[in-house]
Amino acid sequence: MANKLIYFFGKSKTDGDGGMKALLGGKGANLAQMTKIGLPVPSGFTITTEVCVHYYKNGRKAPPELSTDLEKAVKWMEKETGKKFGDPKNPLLVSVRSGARDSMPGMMDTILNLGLNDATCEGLAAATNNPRFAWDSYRRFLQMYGDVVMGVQKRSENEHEPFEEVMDGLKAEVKVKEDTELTAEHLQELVKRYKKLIKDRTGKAFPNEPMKQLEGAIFAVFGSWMNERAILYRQKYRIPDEWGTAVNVQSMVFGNMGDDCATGVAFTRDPANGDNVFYGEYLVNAQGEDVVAGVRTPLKISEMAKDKTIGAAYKELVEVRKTLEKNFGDVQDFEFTIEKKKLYMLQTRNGKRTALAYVKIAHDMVKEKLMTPEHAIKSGDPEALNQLLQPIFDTVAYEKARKEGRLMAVGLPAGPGAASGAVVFTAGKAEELAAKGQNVVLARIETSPEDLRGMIASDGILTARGGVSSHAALVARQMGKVCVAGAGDIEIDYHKGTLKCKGVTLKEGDFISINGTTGEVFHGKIATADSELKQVLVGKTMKPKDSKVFQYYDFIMKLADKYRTLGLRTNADQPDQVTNAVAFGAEGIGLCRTEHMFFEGDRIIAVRQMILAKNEEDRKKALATLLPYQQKDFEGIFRALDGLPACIRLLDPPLHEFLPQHDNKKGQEEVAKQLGISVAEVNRLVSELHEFNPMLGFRGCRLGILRPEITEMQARAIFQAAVAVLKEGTKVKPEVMVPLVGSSVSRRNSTSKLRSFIEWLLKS
Amino acid sequence: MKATGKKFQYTVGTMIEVPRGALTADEIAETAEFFSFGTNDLTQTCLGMSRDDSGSFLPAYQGLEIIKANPFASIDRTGVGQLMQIGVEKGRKTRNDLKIGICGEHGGDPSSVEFCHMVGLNYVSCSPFRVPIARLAAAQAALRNPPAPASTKVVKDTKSAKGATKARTRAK
Repeated sequence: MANKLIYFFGKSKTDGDGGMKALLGGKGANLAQMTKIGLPVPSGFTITTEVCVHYYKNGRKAPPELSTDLEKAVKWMEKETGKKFGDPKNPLLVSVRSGARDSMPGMMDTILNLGLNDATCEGLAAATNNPRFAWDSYRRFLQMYGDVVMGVQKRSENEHEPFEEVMDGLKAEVKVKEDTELTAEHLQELVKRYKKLIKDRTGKAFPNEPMKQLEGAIFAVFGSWMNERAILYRQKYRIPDEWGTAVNVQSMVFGNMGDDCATGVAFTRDPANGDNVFYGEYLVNAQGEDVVAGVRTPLKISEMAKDKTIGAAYKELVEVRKTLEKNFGDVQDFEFTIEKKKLYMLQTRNGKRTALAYVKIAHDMVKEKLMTPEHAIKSGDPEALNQLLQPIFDTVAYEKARKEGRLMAVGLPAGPGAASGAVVFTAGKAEELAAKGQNVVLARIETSPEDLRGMIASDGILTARGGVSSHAALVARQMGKVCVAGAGDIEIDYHKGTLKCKGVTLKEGDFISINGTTGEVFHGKIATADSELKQVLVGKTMKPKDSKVFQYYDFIMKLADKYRTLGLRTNADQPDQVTNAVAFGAEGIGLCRTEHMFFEGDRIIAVRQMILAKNEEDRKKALATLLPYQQKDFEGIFRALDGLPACIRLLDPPLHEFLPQHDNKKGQEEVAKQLGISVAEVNRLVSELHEFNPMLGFRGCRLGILRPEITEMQARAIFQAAVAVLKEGTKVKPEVMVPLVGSSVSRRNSTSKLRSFIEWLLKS
Repeated sequence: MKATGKKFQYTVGTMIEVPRGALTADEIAETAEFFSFGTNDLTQTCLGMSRDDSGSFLPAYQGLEIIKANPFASIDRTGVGQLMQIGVEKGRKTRNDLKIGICGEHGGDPSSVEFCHMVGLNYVSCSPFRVPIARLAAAQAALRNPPAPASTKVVKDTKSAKGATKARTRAK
């Protein structure tokens, strides 16, 4: 490889900086940056991501010059620290950690205390005058190295962790319960047994030579880039496999050498609500993994101020907090260790945060001139903004329901938020109960456009079938409805009016609660709370000045408007949807589907008359009934838009979607009654309109070409509405869209013809 | 219709949701004043994959890495995206001020919004409650893809609507 493989960071020199994340990984770049700005970072070096990329491109082989470069790097570290690899008197010990461009917490491997062997362990014991600490470090190292590098892991789900098993065996023999009760001698014995375990399992001896240990650890970190959980994580967060990981080798500092030592993690601000408070926790006399493992309960970072032994380090940390935000321009999530009262920084990265914390922190830090406006925009997760819109379960009530085991099923989270109410199985019942002011959850095997009004009336929608792009899910998203779709475990029986799952049977009217953010379905009631943002923008029950959340959100949105060049529109076909979308920032309608309007109220009867008409005259008669309805719809939309453009799509779906199919006998009977024809006749007509592949059938502009009177009625409705609203003094900007255009022939027949008709219409 | 004495603009355009529509965009733009990519159908027809039936194999395809992301959630840039690109280029060759948007579910997906920015659409459209998501994603797309010194200038929807399009104005 032509490029430099290894970058140093230390007192004498630092090669990298915070801008080199692609090459050094996030951790490596930030270690270099922290060293550069004078923060106390134990010295070390970073092997670049390019080495990892090379490793995978060449059949898991490192570039040949890596081993000599590695030797040079270790020599440099020895000079920097005054310690030596393998020196029994003053051994250099290092940590080896992964570090990709984007942080992938916990996904890849870490090895601590590398450089320990029988000789250096004795040296460490003598140097620290603490044999127990030395042997404990050694056994921890063996455990990590055996697991990560040599692959000594449990061989099946039923097995215990092999190292844990050996330790438990020893603890039973010497009759102690806690790890901390093991003496130096016990731990020395444990080291022997760990080595035997490694030899027995792998047939290979644990390597004593620190340089060998180091090489093994580095390749293990490269290897962990392709472990299953790292691959899954990358898929989820769309991190390319091609990036590779860097490897950071850093001299060890110890937070577990006594009560003047500690280790901890901290955020420069609260990552849950964004408050400008120092947020974190630490443990006295502990190593990094103890804080995360949850064996001992860590203390709040502010407690450290009161600690007589390490209180001075707290003052330093408070300064570090300021320095970090100033230099990195964002909230930092960092790890530190205090060794014999001296503070060391082990890593820092931009802190992950909730949507609420994101908008608050971005707002605050831009105003404090700590964050650039560009970074405020770039660092947000757009998808997470949903969190700000959705009603939520009351936290206490939600936890209680979980503890009580009321979780019944899990489906697809199709419409985020929480809903709790009486379960109903028909759209009609949903409307009926909602009209009485009840909270309702509509549960259907699947939904269809006929259920729309019931869906609107419901607080939440639950379906047993269908995916995230099913009708229920689409409607949920369009209306911001809470929805769990395709919860396959639940059984809905329309005849009996029951919903069954896992031995629980709910009857119509019983309480059910669904979480559209997680897909969970609970039986019983769970209290919900509306989000502030919705109260301000949709319900208008809260004034902007009374909602901090709204102000933070609004700040970010206005900032986004400064940078974006794309226009923003909404898919909406009802005035209140338009009003909501405009409140959220839409600058017009990009898609107004007219077919939804055909289902409203009684007009479906006229639609069916139109479809089933035997001749043009009957068809025109039915369409004439529809015209005033459609016109009114468009008037409402034009008013809500107040001069913004409205892209209106002419009728698109195949006609049979408006008819009850063969499996809906009741519906067919109803239609027969409405239209004054026999059920057999309805049945015959439904068969006649049946299509083998409706998506590619008689729909879109094909309808408009062969049934021009439909298009004419719609054009009439649009332009009569436009003129009517214009008369009221409201500007209008209609855009008429012809669907499913695929050829110049249909173009001439649809677009041009439509235009001439509109021209004629406007003249007449 | 009775005269109101006031004026309003209207345009007639086409939805582009079958591959042939994108491929013959130059012809279609002769009469269409705007395009809107219906990317739900365009994805189905381009991939020959029914959205409602994809549940039985799509997860397995993703597992096998035949398909990286669900094409109904995020625009398949190489396939469907190429059709969009052809549609934009050919359409604007005929009518250089052709206003182009997207109205499929993809309009609210951040990665797809970025793609729409990259191919020079005028606007994205999504369901009301996804507007804030698209709003932030559009700003991110602009920051991540600083304008190249290219000749095609993207004009914001609202701005272009004022004068750039040749919308007929009529006296009522």
